[in-house]
Amino acid sequence: MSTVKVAGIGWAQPGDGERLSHAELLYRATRQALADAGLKRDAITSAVTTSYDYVEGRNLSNQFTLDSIGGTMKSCDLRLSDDGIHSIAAGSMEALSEPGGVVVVGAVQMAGTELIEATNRSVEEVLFEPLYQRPVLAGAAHPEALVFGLAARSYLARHGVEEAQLAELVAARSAGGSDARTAEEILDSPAIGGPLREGHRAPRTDAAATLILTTEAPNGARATIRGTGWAAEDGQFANRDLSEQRPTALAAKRAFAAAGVADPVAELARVEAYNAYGIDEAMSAEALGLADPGKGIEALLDGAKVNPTGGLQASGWARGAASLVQAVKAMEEMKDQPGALLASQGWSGPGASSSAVAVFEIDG
Amino acid sequence: MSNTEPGVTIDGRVDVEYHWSAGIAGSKFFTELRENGKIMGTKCPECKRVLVPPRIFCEECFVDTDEWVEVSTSGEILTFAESYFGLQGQRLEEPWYIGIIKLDGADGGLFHRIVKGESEIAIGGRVEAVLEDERKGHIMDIVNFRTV
Amino acid sequence: MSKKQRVGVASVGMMPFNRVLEDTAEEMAYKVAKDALDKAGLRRDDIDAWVVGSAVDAFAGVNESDKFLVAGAGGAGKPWFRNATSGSTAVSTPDLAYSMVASGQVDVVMCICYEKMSDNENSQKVFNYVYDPAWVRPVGLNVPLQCGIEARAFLHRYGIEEEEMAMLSVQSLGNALGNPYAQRGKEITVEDVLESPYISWPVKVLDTSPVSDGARAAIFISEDKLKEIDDDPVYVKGIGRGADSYWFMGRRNNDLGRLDYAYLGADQAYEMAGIKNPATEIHVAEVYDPFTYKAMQHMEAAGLCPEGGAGKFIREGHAARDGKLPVTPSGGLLGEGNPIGAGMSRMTWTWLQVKGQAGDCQVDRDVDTAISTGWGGMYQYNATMVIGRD
Repeated sequence: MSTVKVAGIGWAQPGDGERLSHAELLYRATRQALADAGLKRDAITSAVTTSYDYVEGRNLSNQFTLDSIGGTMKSCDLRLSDDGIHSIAAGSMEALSEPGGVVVVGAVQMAGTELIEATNRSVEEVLFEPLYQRPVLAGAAHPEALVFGLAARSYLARHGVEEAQLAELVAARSAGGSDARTAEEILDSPAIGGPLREGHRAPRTDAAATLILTTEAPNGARATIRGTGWAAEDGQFANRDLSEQRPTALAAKRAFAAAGVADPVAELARVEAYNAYGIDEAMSAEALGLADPGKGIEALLDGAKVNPTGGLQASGWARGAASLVQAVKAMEEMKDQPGALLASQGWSGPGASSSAVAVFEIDG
Repeated sequence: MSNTEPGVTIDGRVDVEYHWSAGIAGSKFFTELRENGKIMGTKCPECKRVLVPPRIFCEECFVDTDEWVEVSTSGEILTFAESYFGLQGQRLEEPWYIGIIKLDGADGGLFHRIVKGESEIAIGGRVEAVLEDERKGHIMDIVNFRTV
Repeated sequence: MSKKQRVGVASVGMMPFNRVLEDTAEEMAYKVAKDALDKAGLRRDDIDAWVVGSAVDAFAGVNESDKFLVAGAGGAGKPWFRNATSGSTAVSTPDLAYSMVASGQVDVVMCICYEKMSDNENSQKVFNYVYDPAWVRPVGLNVPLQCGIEARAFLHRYGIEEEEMAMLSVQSLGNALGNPYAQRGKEITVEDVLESPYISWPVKVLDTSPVSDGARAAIFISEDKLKEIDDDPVYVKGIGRGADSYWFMGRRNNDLGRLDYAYLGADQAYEMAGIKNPATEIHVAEVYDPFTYKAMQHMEAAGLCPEGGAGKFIREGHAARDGKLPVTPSGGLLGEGNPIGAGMSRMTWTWLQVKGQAGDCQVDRDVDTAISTGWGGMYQYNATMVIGRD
């Protein structure tokens, strides 16, 4: 029986005023990760990257970054269109299978600076399918926020939770970040998908992250992957209950079962949960078993284990790479907590119809 | 059995705009091309290859490459192709050519237009870059590569 | 955590390809998933995970187009991956399905590959955004020219002849006549091919596979579970992938005539499969054939004939359905159609050949071991799968 180790990690953001290419940014993160793992490029046997063609404006976006992940003349030919945690799940299965070996998991997103803001709505529109969803959203300035707004309204109404509480959560998360907001500022900002307001949405940023997965880590490892889980629901909203994050619940159930986590509240030392709109974190907290239904926001405000550095609301949201970036930063910050469990969650799909969870045990 | 025409279609278009970064390496390359009409590459400290297009890293040795060297504006045709269609899909009387040119002094080269100058366009043929007088910092500051 | 296990293929799911299909991608996924389940005698609940492949979201005009297939594919509430690696998706997706089962973390995986190209007004416009915005697109490139520079290099390096390319086209379109799922089964002559217009020398219209809509499915399964339902189990013997630098104009191998990365992919698969002499140990080859010359490059990279010898191999009749090593007896992408991700059809046809279920496409010789390949990107990616019975 083998386990998969995170032998090395790296992440990178452009320096102040630095305009580098996305391929260069991912190279930096990968170089760091290989050095962290004590491995050279020649050890690489496979890779899984994640990227979104439409967000980047590059079709077959995976081909542009092949060199950056050390994949030149290597057996590297996998790319998931997700945010990152799915690629950890796929990457571990790659590492465990034959031929197995050393798997680079990487992602980069520079849409924060490369995507012209005025056309961002077109990218959001493209997240939705053109027969039943997009025509309804046409004319909306923030199509995705509208859909998360549906989810938020559904959740708040179902559980009798006040808008002000959600604003408080996002304010707390944003503190210390590049775009710190108070609850008042959030509630005063224009509605983009009421009850969601401009102030609820995490600011965009650019970032890249790389992890090196392997079954043998002779130079030591950052963490061991204890369990992964992932799940998707129908992309059509009518067939989903938007007041809960069922894909995350299904993913967490698998991941926790594999990791032997019976009591997530007690056993997890830290959780990084996607919080692009605030409401996603609230629902994920419940889906991860960290709070009872309707008590997600309360539990998050009271506790200190979930997104202790604010998650995407503080770090910024590099869609397509954010969950990997958060996982890497958390592992770095937890390096003096051997044995501690970290759970990382990320979503993808229209209105978060797909989710993945990975449980890591920090190595000693 | 499926119908081979959809009964109902819904129309739409996607209009997204971007400004992609040429990168640290690309920015320097295009600046040198604009300012000085030079073609520059980066040299790998380990394998010693001169990379064109330049990169801040060698993809084989996976180390930083920060040494810049000037390479020749002359080179040899590795391969080429002809087209009788314009970029709007219109049929042309005379073909135009694109190809890959390996530049002297570099281990790589450029993908660019090729035009017939003195000799026929052929694999192995020698070419020389033709530069615009007014340059913008763009790959088309090189008008084309002309056979000598 | 989990124990490695051998992986087999329980069944494949098929449907006809065509230039335009009324089906949505979800409807296509449903058809092939259902076909695969029915043929294996399995139900949706028997599947542990789904892995779905489609090369380019922009053909569909939908980001993560796969998310709208989830229900139709049977995957609602289930573990779901979507892989997208250009044309190599056709085999890199089955390769991922293999890894998932081989890892021991799941036992049964539904693998579906699909592409709807007809929703898009102009596939060239989609390819334009495949080209680098700084180094390639402003110079001007399109799919015909992409082929032209590569095919010219291939012919130059090895002396392959246009007539040999044409022979493969005649063979493939003829083979497709026996393929009930093919879009373009047709009897043509070498003259027909040679007289067809050039898209860019040396590649002609009849050297080129047609644009299509379509899907394919295959169920990858652990050895133990396969033996419960199949007394003639077919296993994945080897997988391989290879990829070369995005900077095709500046990479170490600057000769596009030789697909070094395809040799890499094939070598990895053969090493895993314990195959030392593919020319005799491979019985059928469904190589990726978006263009005749491309199929020939893959034949050589896969060691089915000597390097540079694909033209001679075809000319001497060895690649024909009654030849010593049939190549694309299904008709390939050339004859069946090329809905890019669903080039997975190459893999599904190898299974049908090994099982003896290829109908009118069944080759004359005994088939125990077969290979399929996928290819794509800016002359970059190759994915390979070798299957066979013990």
